[in-house]
Amino acid sequence: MDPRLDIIGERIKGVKRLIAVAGGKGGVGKSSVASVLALKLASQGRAVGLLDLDFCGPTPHLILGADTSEFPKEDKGVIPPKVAGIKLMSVAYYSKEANPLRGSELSNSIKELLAVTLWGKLDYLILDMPPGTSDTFLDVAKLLKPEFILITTPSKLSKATVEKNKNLIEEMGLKVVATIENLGKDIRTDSSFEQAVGSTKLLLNTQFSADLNKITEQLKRNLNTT
Amino acid sequence: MHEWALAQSVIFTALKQRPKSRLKITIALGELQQVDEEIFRLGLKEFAKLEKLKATFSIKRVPAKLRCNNCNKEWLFSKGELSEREAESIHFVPELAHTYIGCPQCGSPDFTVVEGRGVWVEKIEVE
Repeated sequence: MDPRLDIIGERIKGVKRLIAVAGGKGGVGKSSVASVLALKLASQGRAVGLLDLDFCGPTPHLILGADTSEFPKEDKGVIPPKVAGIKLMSVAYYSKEANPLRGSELSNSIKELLAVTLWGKLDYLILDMPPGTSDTFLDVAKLLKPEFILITTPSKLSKATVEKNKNLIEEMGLKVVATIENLGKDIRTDSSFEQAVGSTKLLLNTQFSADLNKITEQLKRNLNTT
Repeated sequence: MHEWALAQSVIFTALKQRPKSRLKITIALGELQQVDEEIFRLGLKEFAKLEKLKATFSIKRVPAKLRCNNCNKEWLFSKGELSEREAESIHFVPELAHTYIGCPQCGSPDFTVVEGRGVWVEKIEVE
C-alpha cells in the first residue's frame, strides 16, 4: 500500500480552491499566467500557494525571482517558502539540472511532493501544469480534482488542441473555468514582460498582468477569504 | 522534519482500516529515500498517539535495486560520490536519483528503480 495516497487529502484540506493552469501545447504561457495570477491574488490579500508540476521544465521560480539556493524549511513536513506572499513549491529547490523522468517517475514525484508539503490554509492553490494530458494531468485530475484554466495562443494548432483538452476535462467531470488566449485577444503581446521576469514588482506593472484582471476578478467572486 | 510527514501518511493508511483492536503494521523503507529510521519511528509513535491508534510497527530496510533501461545493468544504490545536497535532494524526491546518478556501466540516467524506492506499507494485521 502506498501511504502517500492516504495523506494527500489531509494536506490540501485547508485549500478553498484548486486551480490548474493547463494547456495542450508547450510555450503558450501556462507558467507565466499561473505565476502572475498567483502574484495578483496574493497582492490583493488572498492566501495563495503555487505548485509547479512541470518537473521537466520548471519555471515559476524564475518568473517570480525565487531564491532556490536553500532547501525549504521543515516542520513535520515541508514548508513551502514564500515569494512575494505566495507559498511556492517546486522541484527547483531540489534540482538545478534537467530531470530525465519517465511517466511513472513523474507520477511518483508528484505524489511525493503532495504527500509531504504542508500548505496550511489557502484561498487558492494554483497548479502550474506541464503541457498535455499525460501522466501529470491524469494524476492531478485523479488526486486533486481541480478546476482548470486553459491557455492557448491564437495558433489554430494550439486552439484545436486546447478544445480537445476542454472536452476531455469536462468528460472527466471536472470544470474548465476559463480558456485564455495568450499573445492574442485575452492577453496581448507585451514586450515589457520579458524584462519583468524575475521581479514580482515589475511583473505586477506589466500589460500582461493588467490583462489578467478579468480572470482574477472571476476567481475572487464567491470566495470567503482566509 | 520530513520523516514525520511520511510517518503521518502511514498512520492515515492504518486509520483507513477503521481498526477496532491493536494493529501490527509492517513497513518497508527503501534505501533510495534514506529515511532516518529513528525519527521516522518517533513520528509513527507520536502520530499514532495523536490519532488514538493502537499499533506496533515492524520496519524492514530494502536495498534500492536499480536497472538500466539502456544496457540492462543492475546495481544497488549507494550514496557513494553524491554530495550532501544531492543525497538530500534524493531524500526529498527519490526520482531525482535520475538527475544525479547514472548507470555505472553506460552512464545513462534512464534506469528503473526495481525495488527499495521509499516508504511502503507491506501489510496491516490485527494483533
